[in-house]
Amino acid sequence: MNRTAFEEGIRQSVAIYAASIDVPGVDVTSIRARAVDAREVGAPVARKRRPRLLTMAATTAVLLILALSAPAVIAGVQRVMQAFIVTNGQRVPLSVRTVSLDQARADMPFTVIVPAAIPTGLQPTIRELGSGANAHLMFAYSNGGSQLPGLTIMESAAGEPQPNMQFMESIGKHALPPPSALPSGQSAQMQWKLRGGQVLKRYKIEPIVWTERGTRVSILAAPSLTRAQLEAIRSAMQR
Amino acid sequence: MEIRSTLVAAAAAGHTEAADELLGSVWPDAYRIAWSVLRERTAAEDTAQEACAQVLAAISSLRSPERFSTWFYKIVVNCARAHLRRVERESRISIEPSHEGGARREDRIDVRRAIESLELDLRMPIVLYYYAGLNSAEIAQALGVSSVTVRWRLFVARGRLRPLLGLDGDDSHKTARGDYADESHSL
Repeated sequence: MNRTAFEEGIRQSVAIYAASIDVPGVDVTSIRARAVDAREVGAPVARKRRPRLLTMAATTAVLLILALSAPAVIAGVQRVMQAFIVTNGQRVPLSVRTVSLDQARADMPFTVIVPAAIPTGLQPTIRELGSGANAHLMFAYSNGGSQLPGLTIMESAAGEPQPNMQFMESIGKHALPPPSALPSGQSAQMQWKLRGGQVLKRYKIEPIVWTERGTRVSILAAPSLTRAQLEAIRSAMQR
Repeated sequence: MEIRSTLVAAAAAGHTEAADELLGSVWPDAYRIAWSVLRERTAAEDTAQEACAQVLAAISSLRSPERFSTWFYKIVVNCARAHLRRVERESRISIEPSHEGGARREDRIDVRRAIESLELDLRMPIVLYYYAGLNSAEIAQALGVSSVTVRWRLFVARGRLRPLLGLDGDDSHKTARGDYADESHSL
């Protein structure tokens, strides 16, 4: 085999190798959101306003939320979320994609149980966290008048082990804090804090968890939703 | 792979549609390069997103649109390596090679196994040279090593791949030194 044939052989092999890698669709929304963070991390100028940051940690049945600023109504607000799997106290980032319901149905390796009987005024954002057997689906409902999430519904394959997960969300055009700034413990407590540590709200939550058609469903909600409302959601999703 | 300078220039000038088009065109390469380093879908997708975000955030500072490819691949490689370092440092969770999605034909499996059997230091120059179309100087810039190192790694990687890919027919150039010297000219 001469050199040209050899070179061409490797070139073709690498082309076959590259073609064998299935490329997921590009999520321009997520990339743009991360670009905002990248710009701000690299920007040396001081910010005029304190960042509005929301930090959230959750396991299957537990949710801990820290808000690092006062909740406020922000028109056209941009929300950026990062997700982590926590193992032995270490955080490993997961990919996060904002998707449509149809896309989630196509991507998830489990049956997507569509939330139902959601109280009016709550707007959903659907996010895929991770992929493959480790994929999780998040329906995050926020009240239009508040930046704080009013209802979160998590779904994953019931047969897969459930890792500890944490979520960190930035509201507005502000950089996310480093993962080391995340709370390290797990708690059935939800709380909102001003940047600087002043606690605005603190309350316990009682998640509702069940398995539906092979899908583990967890409902986590702020106390603004009554137990009856949550049970109505569960009942509607079990149909 | 050619990225049109006009598209890069338009994206750098702040044209959203051009930036979106640019993202769409570089995304497969970002993902595949990230995959070739990390070999895990979630990590590769996260890394490719991060790289594209950095490109988007800094493209207005790119002085020479014609140098976009080298700049872009450098960012992707750096993001992938950073991810690898972070995972190794912060977690006991290891990234295992996965063969999802691509194993539709036996030859693809063999090629994939062959290329992924190379150590990262050898795999990256091969992918950047034959897939991304970078020359040794550009690969050196992307990987942060010298051009001589890149040429040597390409030489070693070719030698490893030769039998694995069934490309080891009766070859006339059997002297390693001569083989390497020829390669350095060809780059």
